[in-house]
Amino acid sequence: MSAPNIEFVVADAVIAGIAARAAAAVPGVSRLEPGVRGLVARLARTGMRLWTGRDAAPSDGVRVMRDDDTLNIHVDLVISAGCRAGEVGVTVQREVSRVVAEQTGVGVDAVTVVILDIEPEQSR
Amino acid sequence: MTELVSESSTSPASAAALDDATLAARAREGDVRAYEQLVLRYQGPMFRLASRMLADRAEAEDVAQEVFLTAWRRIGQLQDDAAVAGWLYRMTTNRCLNVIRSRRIPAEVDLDSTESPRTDTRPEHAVQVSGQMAALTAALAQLTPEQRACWLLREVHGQSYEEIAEIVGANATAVRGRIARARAQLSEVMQPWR
Amino acid sequence: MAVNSTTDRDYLLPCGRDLEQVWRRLDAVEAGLADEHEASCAHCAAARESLRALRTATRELIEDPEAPPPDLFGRIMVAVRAEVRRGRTLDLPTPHPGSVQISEESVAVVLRYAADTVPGVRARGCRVRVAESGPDGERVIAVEMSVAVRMGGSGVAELIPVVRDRVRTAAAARVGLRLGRLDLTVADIYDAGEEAR
Repeated sequence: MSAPNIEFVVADAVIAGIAARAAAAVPGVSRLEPGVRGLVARLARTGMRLWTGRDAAPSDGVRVMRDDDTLNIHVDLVISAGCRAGEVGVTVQREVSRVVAEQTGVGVDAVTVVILDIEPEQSR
Repeated sequence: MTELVSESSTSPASAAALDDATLAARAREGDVRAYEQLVLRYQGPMFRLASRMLADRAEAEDVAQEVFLTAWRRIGQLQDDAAVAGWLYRMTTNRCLNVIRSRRIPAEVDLDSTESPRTDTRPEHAVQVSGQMAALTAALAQLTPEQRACWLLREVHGQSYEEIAEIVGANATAVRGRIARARAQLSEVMQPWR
Repeated sequence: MAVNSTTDRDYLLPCGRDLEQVWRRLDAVEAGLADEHEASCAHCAAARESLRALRTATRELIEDPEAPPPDLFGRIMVAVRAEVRRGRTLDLPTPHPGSVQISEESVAVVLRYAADTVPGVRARGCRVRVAESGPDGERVIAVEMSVAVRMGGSGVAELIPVVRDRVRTAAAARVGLRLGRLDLTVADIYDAGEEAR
């Protein structure tokens, strides 16, 4: 953690949103995938029934976890078929840490990336 | 060794063209995209069966939704991947029969009236439906649910007697009997229309 | 049309003919192939009229689009995706703190896709397991795959090495995993005609 005088607190939801956007911007990332927990959280927030088919909010698929002084971010991903999965995962880890630190001053201790699915390339 | 060149070097047969057995095998292992293809292929037939079994589009939607979610959960129990369609028909038919059993028995339908107790909820289509089809729809409601299921599966969904026997859990002779009975009853109310 | 039902299953017209028989004979009689009884019997004629009306109405029913509501598909898939079986994951190498994991099912998707690129081959099942860490610390996977081959296509002996090669290449290039062992089973044959929409 680098900021010496913390005069403000950044809400986890904000960190999650920034992390989500950073991950989604990485080439090869098709979308963030809501896991069960993400989906349930979204529904609880909005009071919606399960059967609505609305698009997932951008932060779905991202979980921010704090443990004592450590900040871990978990990202679930769907990647595109034409890329190299391992490299995309590593880039996402790097970008999430970098962008969160840049935009909030908050240091990320670890990023866990889980690739849950691979989508075929869009046909040209 | 002869050179093996694919028709197109980067894209295999598109998922939409894959046979049922392949899609079912992959869906069993968790391939969501393969399951999507099965849903796209069979949501229409299952919805239509439920809609005509129940004479209620809203309930038919619920049945179709539950069938496809249950099928996803239970696809590990499917013995013969190639028979996934029959398996879906069986789940849809059973669910419809359960819905019907749990309804209160409606008052007897007066075939001369233009409305039945549970009207098809598509008012914009009502005027376009011919008298013939309205008569058939009303007559279908008069069959027992088991007769209606067998008749729809045979005459609308093109299933064989053996397939229907598997779907409804009866033997082929009983199925034949139900369909014959259904046909006799339905044709009694069909007047020759010009 | 009068129907005297004598048993639960036989619907006999007053002339003794079975209604199902009249139904089966509808097209033949229309084509002019009526037998003596069919040509002269009023009961059969009346039955044929009613059955023809039923047949016409049935065709209308079949052709009535009665499409499911457009959002049904979306609702089904939202629910299905919420239950996607996460299954096991494999670790991929990374220099950063935390981890990069990939689900076994995702790897299976890549490998099935690779097998599908071989003409006349369709991947069916694919199970991926981590075997051990290789000499360079890389992850080595063991794969069991079953495929269907097209009837009348190239022989299995020709196809298998190509499948192995493409699967091995895809594992390395697309995922970053080394293929240790590939057990291939030819589980089925398919007809090219079954690829119909």
